[in-house]
Amino acid sequence: MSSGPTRDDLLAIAGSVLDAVPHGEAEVVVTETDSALTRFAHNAVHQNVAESWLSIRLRLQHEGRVGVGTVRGGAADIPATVARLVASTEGSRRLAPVSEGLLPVVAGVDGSAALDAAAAWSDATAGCEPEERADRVAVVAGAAARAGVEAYGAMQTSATQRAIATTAGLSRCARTTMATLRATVRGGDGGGYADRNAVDVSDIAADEMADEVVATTLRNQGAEPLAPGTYEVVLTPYAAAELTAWFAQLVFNALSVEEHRSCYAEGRRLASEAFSLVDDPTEAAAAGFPFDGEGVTGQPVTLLDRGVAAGLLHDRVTARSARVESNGHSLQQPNTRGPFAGHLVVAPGDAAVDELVAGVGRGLLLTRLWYIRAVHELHT
Amino acid sequence: MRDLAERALDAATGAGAAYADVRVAERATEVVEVRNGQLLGVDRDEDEGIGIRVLVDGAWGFAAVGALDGRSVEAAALRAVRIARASARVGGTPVHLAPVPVVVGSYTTPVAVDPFGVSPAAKADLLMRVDAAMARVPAVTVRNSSTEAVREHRLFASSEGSRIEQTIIETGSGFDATATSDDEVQTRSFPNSFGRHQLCAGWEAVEEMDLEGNAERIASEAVQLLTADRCPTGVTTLILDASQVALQVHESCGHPTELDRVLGSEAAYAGTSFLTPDLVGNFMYGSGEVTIVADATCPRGLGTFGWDDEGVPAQRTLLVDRGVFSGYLSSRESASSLGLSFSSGAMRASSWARIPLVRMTNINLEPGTSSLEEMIATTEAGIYLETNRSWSIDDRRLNFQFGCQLGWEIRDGQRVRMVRNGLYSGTTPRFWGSCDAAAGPDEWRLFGVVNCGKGEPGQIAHVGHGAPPARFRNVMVTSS
Repeated sequence: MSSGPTRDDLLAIAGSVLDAVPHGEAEVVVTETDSALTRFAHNAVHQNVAESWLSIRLRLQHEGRVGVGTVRGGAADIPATVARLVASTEGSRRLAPVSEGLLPVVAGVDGSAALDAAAAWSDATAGCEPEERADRVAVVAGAAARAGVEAYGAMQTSATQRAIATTAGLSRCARTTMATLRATVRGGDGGGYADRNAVDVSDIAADEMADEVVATTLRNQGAEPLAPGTYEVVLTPYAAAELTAWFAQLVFNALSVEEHRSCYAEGRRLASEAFSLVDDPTEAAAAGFPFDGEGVTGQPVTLLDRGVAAGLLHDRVTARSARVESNGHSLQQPNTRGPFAGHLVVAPGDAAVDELVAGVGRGLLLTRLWYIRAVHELHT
Repeated sequence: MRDLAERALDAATGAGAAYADVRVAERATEVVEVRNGQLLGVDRDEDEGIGIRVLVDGAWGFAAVGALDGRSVEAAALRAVRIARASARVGGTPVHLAPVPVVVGSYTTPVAVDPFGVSPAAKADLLMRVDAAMARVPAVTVRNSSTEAVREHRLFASSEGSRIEQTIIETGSGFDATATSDDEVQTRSFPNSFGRHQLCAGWEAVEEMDLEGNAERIASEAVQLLTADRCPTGVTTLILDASQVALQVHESCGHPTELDRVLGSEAAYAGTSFLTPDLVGNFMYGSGEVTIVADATCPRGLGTFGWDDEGVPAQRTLLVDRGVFSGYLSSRESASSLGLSFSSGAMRASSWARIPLVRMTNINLEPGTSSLEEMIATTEAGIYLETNRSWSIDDRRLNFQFGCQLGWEIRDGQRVRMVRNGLYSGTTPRFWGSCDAAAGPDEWRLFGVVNCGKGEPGQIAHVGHGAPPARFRNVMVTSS
């Protein structure tokens, strides 16, 4: 893993961009990442990659005209890259027609430094070497081979730093790491799936995961066809997470609601009382940055309270329309997608998977879903 | 670029790589977007870097870096070699590569009007006019339009001696209009689904689209769909417009003929394929009306280039020949795995920061001899569907369900009523086996798909599809 720029380096780059801006308001985002992924198929590594890069994004607005520019790469000569970026973005801005109602860039936030410093980071993950990734893959592949089945998947580690600064005084920088081990295992009749995610790669228990996914696969051998029909279904956390992520983005995006493309209505029952959902960037296990694409601190938002619609994800654009404050769920602006859910947490119940299964007379236990798509925004 | 490529190759081979290749790229992108009468901004991106792929002890390693200086490039090469050695710790069958001629050459996308020579103001002015035309339809609540121009200059160099420079230019545009009521949302888009159509061509491609001329009609259709009858349910004759046929080809032919999927490389993510090697030459994929080719030489195709990202020349490969499954999209490694003597030249990386994977080039359904109007006129009862709305297909590319934006019920050879929320489902070979007519060359259109996902870490590829309208019998159709 490379020894890249420091927090001070990123803030200095951001500062140099702002210094070079000729006029108007500006927002600059500097991102540095080092990421590696070891991929496997048929119980062997077949692709093994790493990438390292720096990007600088500038949004410039003056006299109602907006220009946006990004440079990825160019780390070999930062001053030249900065000069090129500012010139190009200003050139775009001058040629753009006037837009009405532009929001000012975000101003400085008191107390953000402590929040940013506490973002989830692990030196072990940032320094993870290819041999370590390969060794974890070997655990999964070995377990599958001994069971007479085949493992496919990936072991990934990434370390990202991001600085965001504006001409209104915002200056934030945080860093985060993520380690993921995931595997699909296939036997003759069926397969299984498992994954583990952690800020600290040391917390990825490859042997435990391997045991789980191989056990699922072996349990799924000798499967018989099932007639189409209506069944009770128990979803494992993997399947529930996939469905929940789709559901959240479809329903709780304030832009979709504003444009009547969502079934959301505050107080409307959308699920059973057993289901409560929040998007909580402050949750202990949540990785990622404490600020959103505009530099606003991410706030917890209760989306479903015992099945009843209770809140929406906002960025500053939708917040202005709704006459509320942003709750820090913006992508980079401008965009057409609206606010996003980045830290979904389903409130736990009090039953184990086996207990849920024991309560089903005849039904299905689904480990994972495939190719989820919404066929209709309102009726899905 | 050349010096850096040579330094990377020297560092990699010097550290023990038996094979190495390098891609150095500089990409410029300009996007102009308008939403509900507001310009969202003129967005210019520049992206440059180098990706180094090596074979050491029969295993792959890859490292990419966004710093184009000698020290960083050499460090990346050494990192790639170390990664390859780590691969060998959990190694399988050693990698062998099908041979490829050593080439020194260059290629540039032919364009009439440089899309970067058209000012952002002119692009924004076009989009504002398109937006204004949609805005003339009162019940339309969301209007999106955009243009995109891409120019990538890339150098490929291999330890075998190939040196290839290419400049690939893409231009795209499109719009969509959404109308809503209390219990309905309907979106119509033009010229393709999800708001953009893109080609390897210049600005002339946008001028040919006649966006402004179609905007009010498309917006009106979105409103009409709010109160249209639901698409009826039943097994019936289905006619698809060219854009939906293109997507059908993409999902049910392009993907299952990617040989790396067949061999299991994507089993953990994008899936596998039902088109196993034992079926080549003897499996009826479709009817005799169905001939599908992979053609990286197709003029203006989004999957058109001079050489792929392994230095294999662009070529045309028969995937389905008059209904018979005939071939694959392949790489040097996958071709060798199957005992083929050469790659079909389908290795493409989404950027310098990613390894090349087997991807579609231009996957084209050859034109037939009929026409859309003739197919409708000779259909006693059926449904005509236009423009994709949703898509879902299983991980082997066998069972699928697609939704479309606009439908028409056909009775006695006539379109009798507009229908909404049309969905159709099927099984790939049965569906293509039911194709009994396809429109001719006059109605054959080339479409660009800009959101094809594959690989870990994920890559988004730009691929092309040429298709005419076509008719299929005994298809399950319903509504959402």
